[in-house]
Amino acid sequence: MTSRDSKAAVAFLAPALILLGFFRLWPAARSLAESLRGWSGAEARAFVGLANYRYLFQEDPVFWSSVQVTLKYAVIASPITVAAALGLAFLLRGKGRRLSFLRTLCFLPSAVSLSVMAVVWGLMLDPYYGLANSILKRLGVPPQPFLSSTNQALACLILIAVWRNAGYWMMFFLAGMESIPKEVYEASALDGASSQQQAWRITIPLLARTMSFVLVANTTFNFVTFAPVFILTRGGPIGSTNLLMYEAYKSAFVYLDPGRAMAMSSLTLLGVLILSIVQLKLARARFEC
Amino acid sequence: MRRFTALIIAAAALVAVSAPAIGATTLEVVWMGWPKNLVDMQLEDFRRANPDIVLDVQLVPFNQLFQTLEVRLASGRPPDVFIVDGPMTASYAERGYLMPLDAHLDSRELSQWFPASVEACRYKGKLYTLPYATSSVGLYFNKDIFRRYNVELLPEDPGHRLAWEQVAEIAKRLTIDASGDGQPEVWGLIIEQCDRPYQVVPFAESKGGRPLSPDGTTSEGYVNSPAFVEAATFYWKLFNDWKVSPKGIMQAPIAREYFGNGKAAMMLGAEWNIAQLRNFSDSEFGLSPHPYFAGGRALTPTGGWHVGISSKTAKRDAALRFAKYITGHDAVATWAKLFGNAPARRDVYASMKDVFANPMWQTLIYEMEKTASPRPVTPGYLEYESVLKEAFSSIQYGADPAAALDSAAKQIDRELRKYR
Repeated sequence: MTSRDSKAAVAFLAPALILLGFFRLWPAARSLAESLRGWSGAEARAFVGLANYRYLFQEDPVFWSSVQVTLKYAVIASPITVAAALGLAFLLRGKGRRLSFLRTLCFLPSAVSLSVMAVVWGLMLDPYYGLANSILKRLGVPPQPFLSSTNQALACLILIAVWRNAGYWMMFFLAGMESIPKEVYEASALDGASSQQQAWRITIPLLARTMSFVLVANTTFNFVTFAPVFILTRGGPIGSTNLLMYEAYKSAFVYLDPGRAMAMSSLTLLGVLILSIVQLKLARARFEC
Repeated sequence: MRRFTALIIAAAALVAVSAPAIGATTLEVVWMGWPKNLVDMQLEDFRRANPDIVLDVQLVPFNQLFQTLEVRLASGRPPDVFIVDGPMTASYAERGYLMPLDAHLDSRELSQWFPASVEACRYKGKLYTLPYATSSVGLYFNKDIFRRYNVELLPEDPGHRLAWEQVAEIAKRLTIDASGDGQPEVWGLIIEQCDRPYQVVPFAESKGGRPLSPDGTTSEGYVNSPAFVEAATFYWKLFNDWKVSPKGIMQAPIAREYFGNGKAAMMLGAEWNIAQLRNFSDSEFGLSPHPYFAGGRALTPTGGWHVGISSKTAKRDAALRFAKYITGHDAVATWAKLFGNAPARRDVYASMKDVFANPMWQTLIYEMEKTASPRPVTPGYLEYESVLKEAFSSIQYGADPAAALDSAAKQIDRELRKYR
C-alpha cells in the first residue's frame, strides 16, 4: 500500500473512528474510570481501587443472580433468533411482489420504537385483560400469568426479542445469499444436487461470514437488553428478569451508587468482548476449514 | 418565487405564534403526572396573573417520577421548580439540589401549614421545600358487595378500627370465584400502593417494628426484625396462602379501577379516593379506619407532596412566585376539590368546611391528628424505598419473607453507607 493509499484510508475511516471514539470508546473509558471510585455522597467521589469489583464478586448475590438471568436470556434468545432469521431468509428469498411484501412484514417489528413495542406487548400479555389470554381461552387453554410469573416472564422477554430481531437479521442473511454467485448453484444443479443439498452444502457454508457477524452482534444486543425489562417487568417477579443492564441502571439512578453500576457495565463489556472473540474463533473454525 | 415568499411568511407566522411573549421567563416545572386537564385548571389563575411567566409543566407518571428527577437533577440543567415526595427532601438537600427557602418566607406564611408538614420540609435545620399536600390512609369498602354476600358492614366512626386478623377473615369470605377458574371475580382486599413502603411499612410498625435506625443510616436489625418478618408473612399470606389479594397490581390507578368497578370488596387506600371514587357511581362506598394488628399499635401512613426550587435556577423570583402560588390557599383548595389530596394548610380546611364535614374526611382527619406516623428521615430515602419496594414485590410473588427482608437489609445498608 502506498502512503497515498494509506492517507486516503485514514481519511475515509476518520469520520467513523471519530464517532466511534466519541460515542463508544470515550464513555466506556469513563465508565471504567468511574468504576474505581467510591460511593457518591455529598463529597467528591474518592478513588477506591477495586473495592466495587470486590463487592460484586464477594458480597453481592443480587449481581450474581442478575448475571445468571442475563446468561440464560442471551444463551436461549441468541440461537433461536439466528435460527429464525436464517429460516425466514430461506423462506422469503427470491423475487416477486408477494415475497417482498412478506419480507417487509417480517422486518417491520425492528423498525418499531422499542418502548412502543414493549408497551403494546405489555397490553397483550396482561394476565387479566390481555389479548393473549383471550385467544388462549378460545382455544380452551387456561389463562396464563405471563409477565407476572417467575417461570414465564423471562420466556416472554425472549419471545419478544426473537419477534423483534429475527426480521432484522433476516435482512443480513438475504444480503449474504444475494452475494453467493449464481454459477455455484448452476454447477451443483448440473451435478444433480437437490435444493436441500444446495442449502446445506452451498448456502449455509458460504454464509459463514454473515453468520459469524450476526451471531456476535445479536449476542451483544441480548447482553445489553434494557428497554423491555424497564417497561414490562422492572426486573421482577422476584428478580427473574433482572438483566444486568437494568440492575446497573437501578444501581446508578435508584440506589445512587454509580460505582457499582459502572463496575457492572465494565464487567458486562468485558464479558461480551470475551464471548465475541470466542464466537468469532468458533465460527471461523466451523465454517472456514 | 411567490411560493417561496409565502413559505417564509408562513414560517415567520409560526415562530411568532409559538414563541413566548417578548421578555417572558420560561419556568420549567417537573410535576407529578396528574391528569393534565385538572392541572391546567388549577394553573389558570397563575397564568392569567403572571403574563411575564411562561410555564413549561412536565407531568411525569408516578412510576417514573423519581428516576426522571434523579437524571434531571444530576444534569447541568435541572428544572427550576419540581415536586418533591416529602421524605425525599433530605436526600435532595443533602446533595445540594434544593435552594434553602428560610429567607423567603416569614413566620406568618409558615404558620398557615401544619407544623408537622413544615417540619418535614426541613433538613439540618434549614427549610428546603414547601408543603403542598399531606395524606392519610383508610380501609375503603364496597357496601353493595358486603350486602350481596351478607357480611356485616365495617365500622365507619373515627377511632373504631378492626384488627388485620379480622380483615383477613372478611377478605376470605368476600373473595368470590363463582366460575371456579382460579381467577376470582371479586377479590377480598386490594392494597392501593401494594409494594410501596408508604403503605406497607405501617403493617410492621403496628407489630412494633421500626423502619430504620434513629439516625437514619442502618436498616439491619430493623427491616429484617421479627416484627417486620411477621408483618411481611401476613402480607405474603394475603397473596399466596389465603389468595384474597390479586398479585401484580402495583399501580394505584389500576387498584382503584379494580375497587371502583366492584372487582375488590375492600381497598386500603389514601384520602384522594374520597374524591376519585365519585367517578364510580354504581356502587356505595364506605371508609373504615386503618386496621392494626391485634395487641399492636394503631398507626397510619402520612406525609405527602412538597415543592422545591432548584439550587441552580437562574429564575429565582419567578420560581418563588410559582412555588408560593401552588402551595398557597387558592391553588391547594382548587386541587382538593379537583383531585382530592389532603391539604397541608389549616386555612383550606377552614374555608372548605362543607367538603371536610364528609364522614370519610372526618375519619381521616382524626387519623392525621392522632395516629399519623411519618416515614423515616434519612438522606438515603430513595435507596431505602426502592430496595424495600422490590423486597415486598418479591414477597407478594411468593418469595420467602425472612430471606427477602434479610437481603433487602444488606442492600440498603450498602447504599446508606455513603451518608454515614
